This record gives sequence, C-alpha cells and structure tokens, in this order.
Amino acid sequence: MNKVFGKLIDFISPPTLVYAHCDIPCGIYDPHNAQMAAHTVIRMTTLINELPEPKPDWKKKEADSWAHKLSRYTSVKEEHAELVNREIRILWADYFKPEHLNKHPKLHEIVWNILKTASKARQEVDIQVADKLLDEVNTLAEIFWQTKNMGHTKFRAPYPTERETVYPTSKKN
Amino acid sequence: MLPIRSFIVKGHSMQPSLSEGDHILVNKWAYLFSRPKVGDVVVFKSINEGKYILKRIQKIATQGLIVRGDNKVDSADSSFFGIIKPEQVLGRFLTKY
Repeated sequence: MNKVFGKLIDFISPPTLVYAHCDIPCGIYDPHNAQMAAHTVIRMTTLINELPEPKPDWKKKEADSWAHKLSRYTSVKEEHAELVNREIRILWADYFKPEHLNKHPKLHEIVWNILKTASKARQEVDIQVADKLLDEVNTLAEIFWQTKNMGHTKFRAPYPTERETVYPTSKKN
Repeated sequence: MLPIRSFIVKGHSMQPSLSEGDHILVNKWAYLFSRPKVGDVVVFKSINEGKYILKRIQKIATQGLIVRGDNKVDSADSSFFGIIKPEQVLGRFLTKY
C-alpha cells in the first residue's frame, strides 16, 4: 500500500535527495590554514637555501646532520604545499558559490594559479615561487572576506617569514 | 503544494532506521497543528547550501531544535550546523515505501 502511494507521489512530483550523511556543510571555512601553510613553505625554502654547501671533507656526523636537516625541511615543505592545495580545494568546492564567481570573475583563475604554484613550490627550492604562493593565497583571502561582508587588512605577519598577510577585520555594515 | 513529498535517502547517518537508497515520504503538514517532539525524524533545509537533511530530534531548546543521526559513529549533529529553526523544517518522516 505504501509502495503504491509512494509511486503515485513520485509520479506527481519526482523524489528529491535528502542527505543523511556526516559530510554536511558545517559552514566553517577560513583561508587562514592555507595562509599559514604558505608561510611554512616560505620558511622551509629559506631554511633549505641557508644550509651550508656540503663539503667533501666532512665527517660522517656532519654529513648526516646536513642530510637530516635537508630531509626534514623538504618533507615539511612538501607537506605544507600539499596542505595549501587541500585547503584551497575545500574552499573552492564547498564554500564558493556561483554568486561569488559573478562578483569575482577571476576566482577560478586565482584558484587554478594557486594549485599550480603550490605544485611548483613542491618541485623547486625557489623563494620567488614560495612568495608567489603566499601572494596568490592572500588574494583569495581578500575575496573570501569580501564574500563574508568582512573588511580585511594586510600587514607583516609576526613570524620569521615576515611577509605581508591578509587578515579579516570587523564586519561591514 | 502536496502535503506529502517523496525523498531518496543519501548517506548512512540514519542507520539502522533508514539506509542509503531508501525511498521515504515526508508529511509537510505534520507540524501545522502540533509541535515537533523529541524522537521525530525530520527533514530540514541546510542554511549553508540549501540541501535537505534528514535527522532525528534529540532535544528541543528555546532557540530551536537540536538534531542528530541514529548512527552514532557516522553522523554530524547540531553542533556542526547550528540549532535548527522551526522555519527550516520541511516536515516529519512518515514512512518508507
């Protein structure tokens, strides 16, 4: 009986999906994680560049210490460049909506550029690439806070990287 | 316009009561003359994305409804999407078909 009645309702108005899963949009989005990860990429790139040139007369202990540091810095750089990618993909897929794209037509291009630059930052040890990554993430952060009707400001972050970073300010009226 | 609306369940947060792929009917007029009760399975609209969500009422607070899924290991509760306001509720689960 229920089945017949249900099919009749379906015939009049097709069924809609109702979500009963844990991947519910929680509404908690923030570009902060991507910005911090981009700072880490800059820091790791700097630390790698500051490593001394390895010398052939080094003893094992010195050579091991150098290799160990290089491995750790590289590993963290890889991890955080990937974290930038992940955080940006979440914002892109889950947060940004067509109306945001209407207001910010370059949104897709900015996201695409971040993903490309993050990959390049993993492949290379180039401070210019790492700086470019943070700049691009900052640009996205500005757009993000605009979509939230928040103001934003930019100042030097209180980290060893000391790069300019976008932060939200109070809500606009 | 119809007082009954049909849905297809996507996800596992309402197991064992309701499973993915179940066809269900929802009574949109269930709360015309009565108030939601703890234990009711309701469909409401998510403010953030406009999706319909299926959950069970766990508690009724002064600000609205607190909901969660029956599957305790795989369900987001109201702490994830806030307290559900009565106007977000589309209706009460009626039956599977």
